[in-house]
Amino acid sequence: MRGEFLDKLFQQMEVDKTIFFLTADMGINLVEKFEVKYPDRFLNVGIAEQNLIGVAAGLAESGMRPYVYTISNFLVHRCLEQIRNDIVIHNLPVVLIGTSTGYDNGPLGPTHHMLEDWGIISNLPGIKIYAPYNKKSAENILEKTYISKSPNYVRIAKGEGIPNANGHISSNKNTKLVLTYGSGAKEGIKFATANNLNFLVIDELGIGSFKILDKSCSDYSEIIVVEDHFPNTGMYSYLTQWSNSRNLGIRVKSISPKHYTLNVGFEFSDFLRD
Amino acid sequence: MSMRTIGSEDLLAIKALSARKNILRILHAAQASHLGSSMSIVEMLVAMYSVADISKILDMSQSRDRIIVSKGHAAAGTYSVMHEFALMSEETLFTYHKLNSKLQGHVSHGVKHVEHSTGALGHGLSVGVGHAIFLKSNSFSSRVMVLCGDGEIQEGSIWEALMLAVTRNLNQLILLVDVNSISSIKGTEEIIHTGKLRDRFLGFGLRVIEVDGHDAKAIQEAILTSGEDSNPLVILCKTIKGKGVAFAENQPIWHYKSLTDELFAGAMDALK
Repeated sequence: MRGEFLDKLFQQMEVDKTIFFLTADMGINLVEKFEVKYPDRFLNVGIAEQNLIGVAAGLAESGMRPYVYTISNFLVHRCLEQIRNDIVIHNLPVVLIGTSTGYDNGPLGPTHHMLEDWGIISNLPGIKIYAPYNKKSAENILEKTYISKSPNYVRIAKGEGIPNANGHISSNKNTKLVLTYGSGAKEGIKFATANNLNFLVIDELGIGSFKILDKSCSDYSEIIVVEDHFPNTGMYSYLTQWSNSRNLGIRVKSISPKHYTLNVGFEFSDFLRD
Repeated sequence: MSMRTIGSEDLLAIKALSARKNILRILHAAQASHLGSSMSIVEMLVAMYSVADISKILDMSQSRDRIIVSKGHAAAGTYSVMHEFALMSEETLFTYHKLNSKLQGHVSHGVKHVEHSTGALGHGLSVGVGHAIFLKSNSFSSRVMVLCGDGEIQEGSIWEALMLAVTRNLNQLILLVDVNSISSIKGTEEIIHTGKLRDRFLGFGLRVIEVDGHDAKAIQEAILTSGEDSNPLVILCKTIKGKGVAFAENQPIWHYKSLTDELFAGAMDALK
């Protein structure tokens, strides 16, 4: 998905001379072609993420369309103040691309687990949050960010993603649904399949998900959110807010991590035991 | 038509004095704080705006000079000097810190002709680097002038930005440091030893000029040397926090206090 997103962005840079690609020394075998073909619109700021965000803000204020690429943890956790003050308060059309999500970097330890990234970002009013689930979804999201005039955060998981966003496994309509996204989708679908439940994979998160929830989730009596993100700021929380705001009374359950882990070999299925 | 007021030493001094009086007036009227910081940067701001092409700032032209006040708490000083350069009406200036005004206690892009909102320290220089990269890659010769405090340079992001600025030869970028030697609650050297600031910046590969930060003409001349070589320029402006208000000079508490009627009257008299 990452590759497809960046390939499409690379093509778009040919058409739109205002697109500017920035990285904080990440993206080996992915970003080199940007520097070769567009040396004036590529910048590796080094391992200096606070500066990365500020520079992107300055470029955006000058009329450029910065796409900012690095690993989600360095992008979001380290730079919250820069993202908040320099990008979101100014409502600048900067696209933050955070790679490696959830437990993508499982064995590397909790500093490299992204379990609260988009929840943190979603507290900032005015930024849209996307999580592609396959190639087509990644390309659609790139298109949305490209036409956007506001800040965007794209949470891109490693790997190819899943083939279909909708699964009608159960013949029992209007009962239970599994809602999932991003790097948690594979496990979510596995859980739905094992339990003979319908599933829905979404690629816009936070408040922005309400439109698709209105369309696809209102008739269920119980929705189980499977996510590789802490539930209190994740889709579990947003689904609860959505259900409450629509007075739907849907029962919402969570399968998700609840704490950090110091052990190698922590598996997604461990969430089921929490 | 170009609107530059590089002009005489007298003209700069008149603008500085007028700005100082307005700082006192608006801080007193609103019972607001940050007097010390606003007073120490008056001549720096007068010099920065005097070399800028104001008409391009008014038009938000892509080729405009950029002025970013990174120590956003010096908002009263910033807005008072902007008024001197026809970037803000007197009517607007006197809404400072009052209910529903856009002029909050930290520099805001909600105010016309302000480049970037600041308030948390260590942000403005990175943003300035972004602007400077844009100007350079589009062959615009205008300048990016960023003003920050000597306490502010304790923030690590400042040094991240400088390393990139030097690497990219951003010689249109000028960092003006308000060296008033006082941080928030204490003297800067009492908190973090920076040693000789000049050597630190030289060590990072910048060109450094040291000036009297209350000599607007000297600051102006230093700014005009930018672009003489490939390196970004740092101007260390030695200032007095609270300059011009005797009871507030070099007193950290005037970062926080507001003016009584009596102190205000005395301070205005002393400025005459």
